[in-house]
Amino acid sequence: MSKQNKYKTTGFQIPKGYFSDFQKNIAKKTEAIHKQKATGFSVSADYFSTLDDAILNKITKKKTANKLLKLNGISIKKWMAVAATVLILITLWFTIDKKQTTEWNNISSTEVELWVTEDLIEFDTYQIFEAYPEIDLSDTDIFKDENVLDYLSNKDVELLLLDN
Amino acid sequence: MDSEKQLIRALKNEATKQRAFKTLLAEYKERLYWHIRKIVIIHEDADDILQNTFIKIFKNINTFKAKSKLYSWMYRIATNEAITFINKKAKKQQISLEQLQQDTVQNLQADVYFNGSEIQLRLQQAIAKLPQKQRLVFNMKYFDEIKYEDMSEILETSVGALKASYHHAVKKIEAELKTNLTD
Repeated sequence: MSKQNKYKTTGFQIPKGYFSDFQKNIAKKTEAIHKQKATGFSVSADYFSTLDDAILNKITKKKTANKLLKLNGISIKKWMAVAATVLILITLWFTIDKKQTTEWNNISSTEVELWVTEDLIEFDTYQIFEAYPEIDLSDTDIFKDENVLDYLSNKDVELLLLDN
Repeated sequence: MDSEKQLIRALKNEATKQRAFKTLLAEYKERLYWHIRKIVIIHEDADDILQNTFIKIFKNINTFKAKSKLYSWMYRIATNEAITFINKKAKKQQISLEQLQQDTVQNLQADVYFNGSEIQLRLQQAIAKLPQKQRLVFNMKYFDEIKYEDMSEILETSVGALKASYHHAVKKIEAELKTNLTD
């Protein structure tokens, strides 16, 4: 018995045009499913048709601008960077260096002494050592034990006290 | 794949660059637009970023080494541009990124370029509450149906980590929508 005969014998019927409409119905349903997954965001009707020109115009403008912004093959930006660096160096030369010299000259020996006796005394040896790690005190000759002993043995203690 | 190789060759050749670029625009502008739009939500922002993305692609095509697909490379540029944009926007407004996303989504109902249903609006509100990476992965998987392997190339993240991100995102969105419905 063929399949076709089998169906014929069931007595079931289908609406007229069912199979011809089937594909359309399925397409509608899949579209609906797809719509459910849509974000809800939209754009103006002509957005995508005008987008290409907007982007291509920007690219052309940038190319022209880049050509104009070159001087002897080097971009204006690079020239500006070089000029700015030179300007900064000149400013530093004439301002900071002068300022430092002036300030140093203005400091009196009394002020230095006061700073040493009143402020420097706040630091203990450990802090000084921490502040100047590049100086290795053990390598300096003047602090060698024999030198210190020599110095002390040849010097009158009273005179030493008077000196300091 | 061969047509992609041809397109890349044409894009790298000054004589054929402009024409090839038009093909590239026609092929990818809509896909990239919707990808960016889902990240930044506002049309005007998406438009700016899309234009910048294509300008970057045009300028940097010679540096493209074809280690990944052209499509993945372009998506990566678009993603980076969009993320940089929203980070800057949040910084400018002195608010967190999460706050910015939620504020933007709250204003969607008044947006002329949003005609979604109540459900779609709620879904966007739930997505806005996700951490940035999960939000990206969810959008790319749920709406764009991008394969994990392709997503891995675009986001430079392992497939396993992406699957985990998507799983967490779905769970959070489900919970958020359920809470909304019971409110």
